[in-house]
Amino acid sequence: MQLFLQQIINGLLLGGMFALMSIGLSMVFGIMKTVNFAYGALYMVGGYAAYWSAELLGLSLLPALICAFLIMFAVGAVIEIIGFGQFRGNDDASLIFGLGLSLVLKGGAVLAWGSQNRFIGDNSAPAIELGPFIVPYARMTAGIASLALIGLIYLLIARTGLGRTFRAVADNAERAQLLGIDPRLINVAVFGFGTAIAAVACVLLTPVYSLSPAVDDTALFTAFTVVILGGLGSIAGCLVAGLILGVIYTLSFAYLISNVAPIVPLLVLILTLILRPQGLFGQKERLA
Amino acid sequence: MSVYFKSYNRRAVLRGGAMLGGLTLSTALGSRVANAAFDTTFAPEGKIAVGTILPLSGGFTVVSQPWIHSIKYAIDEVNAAGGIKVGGETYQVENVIGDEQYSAAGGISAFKKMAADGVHYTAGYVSVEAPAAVQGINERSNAMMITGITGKDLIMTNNKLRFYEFAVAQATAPYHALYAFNELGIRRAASIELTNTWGTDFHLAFARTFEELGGEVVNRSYLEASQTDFSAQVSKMVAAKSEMLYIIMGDGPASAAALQARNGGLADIPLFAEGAWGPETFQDAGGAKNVDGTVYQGSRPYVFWSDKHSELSRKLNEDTDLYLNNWFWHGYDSTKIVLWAMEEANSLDPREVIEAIPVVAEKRRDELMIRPEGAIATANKGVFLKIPLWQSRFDASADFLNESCLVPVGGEQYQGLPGWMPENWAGYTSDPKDESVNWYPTLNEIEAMRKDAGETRMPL
Amino acid sequence: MMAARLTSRTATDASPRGRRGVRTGHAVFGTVLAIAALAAPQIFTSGYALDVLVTMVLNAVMALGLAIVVRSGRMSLAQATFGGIGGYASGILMMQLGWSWWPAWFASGVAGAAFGLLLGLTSLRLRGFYFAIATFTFSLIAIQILSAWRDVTGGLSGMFGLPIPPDLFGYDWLDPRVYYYFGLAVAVGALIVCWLCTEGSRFGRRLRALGADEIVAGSIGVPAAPYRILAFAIASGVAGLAGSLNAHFIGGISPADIVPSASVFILVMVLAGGAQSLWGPVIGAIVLTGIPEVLRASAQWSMVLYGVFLLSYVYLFRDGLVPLFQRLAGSLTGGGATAAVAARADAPAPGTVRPHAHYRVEGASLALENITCGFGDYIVLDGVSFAAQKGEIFGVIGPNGAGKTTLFNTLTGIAPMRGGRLLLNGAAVRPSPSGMAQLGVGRTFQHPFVLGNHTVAQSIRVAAEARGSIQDQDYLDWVISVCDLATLLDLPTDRLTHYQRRLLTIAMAIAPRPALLLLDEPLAGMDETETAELKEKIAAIHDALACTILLIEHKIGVVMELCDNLAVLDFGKIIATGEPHAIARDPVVIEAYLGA
Repeated sequence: MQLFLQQIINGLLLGGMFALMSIGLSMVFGIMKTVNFAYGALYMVGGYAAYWSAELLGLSLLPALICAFLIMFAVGAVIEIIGFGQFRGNDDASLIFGLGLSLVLKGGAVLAWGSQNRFIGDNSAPAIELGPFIVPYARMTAGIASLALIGLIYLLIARTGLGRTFRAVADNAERAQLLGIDPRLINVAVFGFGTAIAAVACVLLTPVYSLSPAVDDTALFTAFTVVILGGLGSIAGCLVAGLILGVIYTLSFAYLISNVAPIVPLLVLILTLILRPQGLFGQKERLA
Repeated sequence: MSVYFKSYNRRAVLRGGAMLGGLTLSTALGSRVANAAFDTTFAPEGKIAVGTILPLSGGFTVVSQPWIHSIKYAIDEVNAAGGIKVGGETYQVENVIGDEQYSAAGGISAFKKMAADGVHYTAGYVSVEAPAAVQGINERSNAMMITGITGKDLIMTNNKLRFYEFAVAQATAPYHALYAFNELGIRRAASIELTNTWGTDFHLAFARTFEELGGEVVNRSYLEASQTDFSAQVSKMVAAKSEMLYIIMGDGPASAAALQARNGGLADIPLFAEGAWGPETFQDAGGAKNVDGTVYQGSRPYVFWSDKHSELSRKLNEDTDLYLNNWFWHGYDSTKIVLWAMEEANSLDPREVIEAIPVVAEKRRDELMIRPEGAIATANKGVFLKIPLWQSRFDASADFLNESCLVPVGGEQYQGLPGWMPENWAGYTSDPKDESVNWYPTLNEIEAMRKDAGETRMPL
Repeated sequence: MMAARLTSRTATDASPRGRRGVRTGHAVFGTVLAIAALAAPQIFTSGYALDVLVTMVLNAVMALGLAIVVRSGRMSLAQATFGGIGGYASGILMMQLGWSWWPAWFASGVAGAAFGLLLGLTSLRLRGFYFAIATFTFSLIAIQILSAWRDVTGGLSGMFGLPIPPDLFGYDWLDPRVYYYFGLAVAVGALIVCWLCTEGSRFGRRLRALGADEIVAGSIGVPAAPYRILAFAIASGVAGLAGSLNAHFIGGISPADIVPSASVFILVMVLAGGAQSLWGPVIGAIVLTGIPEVLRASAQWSMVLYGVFLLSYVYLFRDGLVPLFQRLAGSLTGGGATAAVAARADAPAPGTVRPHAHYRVEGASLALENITCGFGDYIVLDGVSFAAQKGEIFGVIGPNGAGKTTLFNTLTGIAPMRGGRLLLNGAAVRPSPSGMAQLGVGRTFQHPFVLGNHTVAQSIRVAAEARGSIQDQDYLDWVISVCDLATLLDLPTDRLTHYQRRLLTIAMAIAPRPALLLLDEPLAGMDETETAELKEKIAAIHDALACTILLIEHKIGVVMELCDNLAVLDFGKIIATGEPHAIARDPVVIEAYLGA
């Protein structure tokens, strides 16, 4: 029983990490309906932005994180302006643009930075013992960051004027334009923000997963799974789906043979696609 | 009228297609397809070609890059010393590099392209998949495979042109068990293994001896090459009160598994490691705090530093930014063994060269860094190098560029432990699927076999 | 000049001379390619080159298969997985069950097709990105299962030492040239299948229409689901055959060979070559297999290269390389320019073709009984009932938002019918988009949707096949004539003006000689001349066909003139029905609609 509870805790922590990995995509997907196949690659590049900031400028973790946030905001904005923004309304073109960009970024990352694992700062933080349960420090940080970011974005979108503007654009770009909002500007801001959040997630998860050009696949697939399961554009759905997925993942690894276990989360995704493509929190609860 | 709606007449098109298809086949077959006449010139353009088949990119370059360079350095040294003298001619050696891509398809396509270009010696192979695939066709192409990845379903299959140049799991893993039980007093062991023949062999070879000694494997977990999260497995190990963790995976997820074990409640227990662990892997696993003291079996040059080390270490670091590891040394020495065997056999034909390997391994062992005890020539399974290993622990504080990262541990019996199975082991003559064979003898059983075979333990 | 360049751009079906030019182009290109393909292994004789050639030819087969799916409007990220399934199938059958090569090879195609069918059936509802993700997930699941099922598949290490097929006419498969020439024959077969699934058959043309626009395709009787599933099964079957050959050529197969990125590369070949053009996938496969080999690029550089290809595809040549070359060739030689301009020598002049008496159809009678339609809590149609008699023009009018278009959508199965009955010729029918077209119901949409990637002629042709093959070529001449499209036949639909598009949609709706024609605001956005012309055309069509017409229209004068009877819809309810002049005097109608 105690082991089972420990596994649930593991699952929830992992779920928090999954959610953290997915917030950036969820925002962009939810507000702009943009299918960003380059999300994983941008997440990975964001990690390197922090890594090189730390290495080259000798920054510690927090300044490096801020540095990466700013760099990736700019990168995201540029990609929106010259890339996705050009293809709005043409899903196939966005999809192919994203695929192309991710191949270039990933191939380029290996060529430029090598494929060895990297860490930012110290990654040997110990586990925290809560009674009989063990909570790895890095995972707890990631989980808390995940909750905080999701809460922040929820408040930003649900409670502030800027959030109302975002929602107006999400609901109806043309009408928003009539109200004097420039949807292009909002899109650039949202995409930049989403990309920067992805970078933050990558940095926070580096102590657990380390950083290498290969982290993009996990991030991309996890984020898509979480967003689809949670429902397009639902920030709360992102958290709930992340937690559900984390628990399912952990329990299948705990109680199934390890080569069968990875199939379970995939089955969850494909069943969601087949039976409830709008996800758990589908359109009804758009964006909050 | 309505000419614009008359499509191509479908029947005409089909007829045309059929004709074109027929034409294709008849031209093809009419053009005298040469019948599997393979190149028997072993040194096209006066050069002996040695191919390296290793991943050129991806998560395994930390292992493959030093390996690629070690083969190159060995060849450069042989060339600089005047090349290879065979049949009164002197040949220079050329190194061709192919991308294994850590997959069967990558390995085999690299191999095929080399074989087609007249390469008869291929070295490398870091995955299980690629050598397994190449083993199906290397004899057909009269090309030798120089490989060092253990696993009975991989290296105990029939292949007369395979030169196995590293330690086998059956022989070495029992020493881990002995060391853990006797020296560290461990009674409850957990292991996590890669799900293939390589991982299975290490686990079973370890478990048989550990259990015979009176220990218990309380948790056996598996990992996948693409796995990133191990928290579920780690918690089970914690719950099973494991006193050590045996990580049977050398690259990719190995460091993540170690790191997550350390951070997930196994902060203090000894770690044992298998596979390609170099300074980088150790660092990835969380640096000094996490992996200092990890128990690992290194070959001689990996444990004892010499001037040669300093020279090659600096060269490698300049070329690749990486450090020496086990794989560097066996790539380096096995290349030299094969090239010298050509001179010994006075032939460039791999079928004859492979027969000379045991002689070379014995005769020139002092020129080799790994100091082999000769080699075992089997009837149908090629040649197995007899390579000694040292039970060691990882020293995180070492200066990786200028000294070894391994420190020998344990008593005399762990020093230069035999990394090969004795010649009279039934495994050398049996099908790996034959369940009547004792594929994972305990250390006692192995020692008994050695006695019967008249093998003496090698000197330190 | 402008029109000429545009025409040479479509290059799939042009005017007699232009088309002959294109056909000659295809023939010359095909011959050159065939000779090159046959001669290649005699020129590049090194084992390395032969290895590349075999890979190239098998990639071409995979790409040709995938092109069928892409043309049906879906992007699959699992083509290499189906290839892998084929490889595993023949491997398992031969090594574990002792089958011989030929049956095992055919079975690999069947296995590919079967899994294609499975994935097609399950992910039918998904489109665009969701479909791509579903195929991606399928591919990951396949990899996991193949890795986990160690006893049969060899797990992660895969299956090796696959048996070499028995000699082919005395030639040993150890020689890569045997694989090459056999693969070439398979590629020719795949090219024919691919052509049959695009231009070469009614199924292919309709599938292509489906890929261009699902709604329009539904209105001309193309059932989306079975067509896509069939397309997917064919594509996967082709992949299975190619994958099996590849596995036996390599000598083995493992899960690492079918990772999603391998599928992405196949997709890149299709798109970069030109998904819509006949030779596109072949050229894409040749170029993208060849370039990394010529450059001896590492996997990483290949990845960057493929990425750059995708990016330039999106920015520079969204039709693919082949159409790009065709455009370049066209602008260099000026070829096709003279031939392609609008009028075809033998095209009927507008309005000169008189309709024959046999064009007349048995107009259908239509009765709506208490039809209800809604989305969620929102009721759009609330118990709508009226009846249109055989052969009459029945108008439906009402203010914006009254539910008129929803009414048409309900009648054609696009919007869900919650309750009520629909009687066609007295028989109750359950509407479905393609089913209604099969029953002889043609329709246009408020917005003149046309088929992208099609010329006017292609659009009319595929519409005319709604209920089987084209029976009456003369009738189509009349359709073209009455809709003034003779001079536009070779134009791609995206180059038409709003008015011309409207005419095309009407031509497409009447091409299969419908018994009931639903016209949704055909006059919307027309100026006065156009309105007058179109009104004449509707009358002429009604005279020639004698079909029943249901007409939604806001231009009340036209409605009064054309219609025999009217129904007035307001807030989802019928508030009046009757003869036009009676309706015009109805106080309820005046208040709700006319007076406003």
